[in-house]
Amino acid sequence: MLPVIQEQLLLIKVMQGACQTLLCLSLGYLVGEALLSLPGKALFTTSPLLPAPSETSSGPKVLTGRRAGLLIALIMACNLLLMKIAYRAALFTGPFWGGVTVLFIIGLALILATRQHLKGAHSAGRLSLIAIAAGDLLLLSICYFLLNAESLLLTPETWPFLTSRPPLLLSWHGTVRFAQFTLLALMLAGLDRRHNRQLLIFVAALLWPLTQVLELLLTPELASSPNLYLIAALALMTSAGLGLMIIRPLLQKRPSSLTLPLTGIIILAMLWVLGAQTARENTLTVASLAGLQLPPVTSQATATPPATQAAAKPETSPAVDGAQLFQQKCSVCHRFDQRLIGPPLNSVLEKYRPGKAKLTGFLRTPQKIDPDYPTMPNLGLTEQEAGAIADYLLDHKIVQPTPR
Amino acid sequence: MPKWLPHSLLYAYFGGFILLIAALAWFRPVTHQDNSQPIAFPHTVHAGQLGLACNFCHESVTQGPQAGMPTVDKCVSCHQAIATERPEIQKLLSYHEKGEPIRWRRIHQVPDFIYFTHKRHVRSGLDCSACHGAIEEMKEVRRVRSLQMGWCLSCHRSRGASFDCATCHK
Repeated sequence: MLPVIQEQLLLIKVMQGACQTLLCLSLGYLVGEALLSLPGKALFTTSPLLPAPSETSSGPKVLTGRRAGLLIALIMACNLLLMKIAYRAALFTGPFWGGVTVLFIIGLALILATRQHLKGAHSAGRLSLIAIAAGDLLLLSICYFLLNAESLLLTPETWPFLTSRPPLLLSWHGTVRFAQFTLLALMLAGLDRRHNRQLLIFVAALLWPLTQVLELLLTPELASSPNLYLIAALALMTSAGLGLMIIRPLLQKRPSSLTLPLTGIIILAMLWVLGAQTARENTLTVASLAGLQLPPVTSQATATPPATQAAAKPETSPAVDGAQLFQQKCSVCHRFDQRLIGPPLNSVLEKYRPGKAKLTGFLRTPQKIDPDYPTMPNLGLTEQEAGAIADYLLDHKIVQPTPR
Repeated sequence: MPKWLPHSLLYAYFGGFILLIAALAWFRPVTHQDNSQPIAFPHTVHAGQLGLACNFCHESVTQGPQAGMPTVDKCVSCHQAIATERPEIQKLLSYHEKGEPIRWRRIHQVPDFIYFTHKRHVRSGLDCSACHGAIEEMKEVRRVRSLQMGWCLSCHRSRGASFDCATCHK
């Protein structure tokens, strides 16, 4: 990781969160609106409080046109990039994410084009219906996929097995997160004064606590923390606030100001994103990301000799091996020329010079010799390891002065 | 329908869910998990800075089911001379004087009905970090893998190990 990223990690995460919130809001609105607009012409126009039907066919005014599409696609790309920078998620390759983004843009373009088309005096024909349904389906499935990938970040332990078992990608946690996204989308689509769709906000606010509790239950154990519960409680209260502020105009059957519900929905989306980020903080640590690269499978025959880290080294170059082993196992307590925990080696090596076997024997089962020093612990060396270290030690006397 | 009814119903509904979340937070063990040990043993120093191999202290990791904790004598064999003035080492030395074992808190525990042996896993070439993560980065050891059956099976399957029930459920 670049030092600059290390320093600005918090900023990057905040930016990622902001991107994701924006993305969720704009996309949620688009998807929800598209989901309702076509069948909505039949479903919602019957409301008695509606203005003349000629006005309703003028279509939605927010988020139309090419510029909005470009903006959303840009935010989406930013979000993926920031995610990759912040969490170094080596989940899939770059071309893969590129493909997802391209599909995303196609879906987006389909929806936006249809909306543009409907803004004119055109009536909703079969073609626009199909286009909008296809675009919606594409966007929704990409959202489902991305949210599952996001949940996958909570269980890095499954990453090594994804290639052999692709179904691991889907998880119940990701599904519940997708349900929450759909609820947010419905709420946003409900923010329409003329169509009097506030019932949608109310229903979504009522369903939110259910998904929130489900999400908490399905969060992997290692990802949950007290903060996560706090954020869940806050999100729940926000949804309660939404429900309470919607019920009065709903009962009195008159449209009300939409600023407050919109603020509530934005806060809810922020908490939704923040919850995912908090959960990630616990699982994507340096410690848990270590060891994910599994070694190649060794056949049973070669696996029989004890394969500790040190012994796995080839025995073809015992001198190098011995030096390494010495650095790793002995140098904590021993120097050649000075007293540390053990005696200076130069003073004790002399008596082992006649035969290597005696030194090897001592290394494998150390005895107390000098009462001045603590007993050397048994290091559990194998015959080869002890031999390599003994070779290294006995060779060493010739090449003075000593290292360090 | 009285005027207050829908509001109070809503309050009751959402209040119930908030109580549910509070109850979850209270009863799920993750929220008050304690990983502290009787002696604040730093793996960052022993496995990190000094680079001691894991089986220097956890001797039986290649020989049996348990990786094994080092005896107090083993700790003291080095620490009768090293850093004896530090409070945590003094704690260790007092255990040694009293001849008491150190009751380490167990962090990685599979249920009783699982037969798990370190020996086989280490001998198949798995690195300790595959299941324990980067222990040398942890001031206080904590779990970084779920140790759940699905995870075990994924690895068994991908590495061609047995997934007969009786392999682990003896």
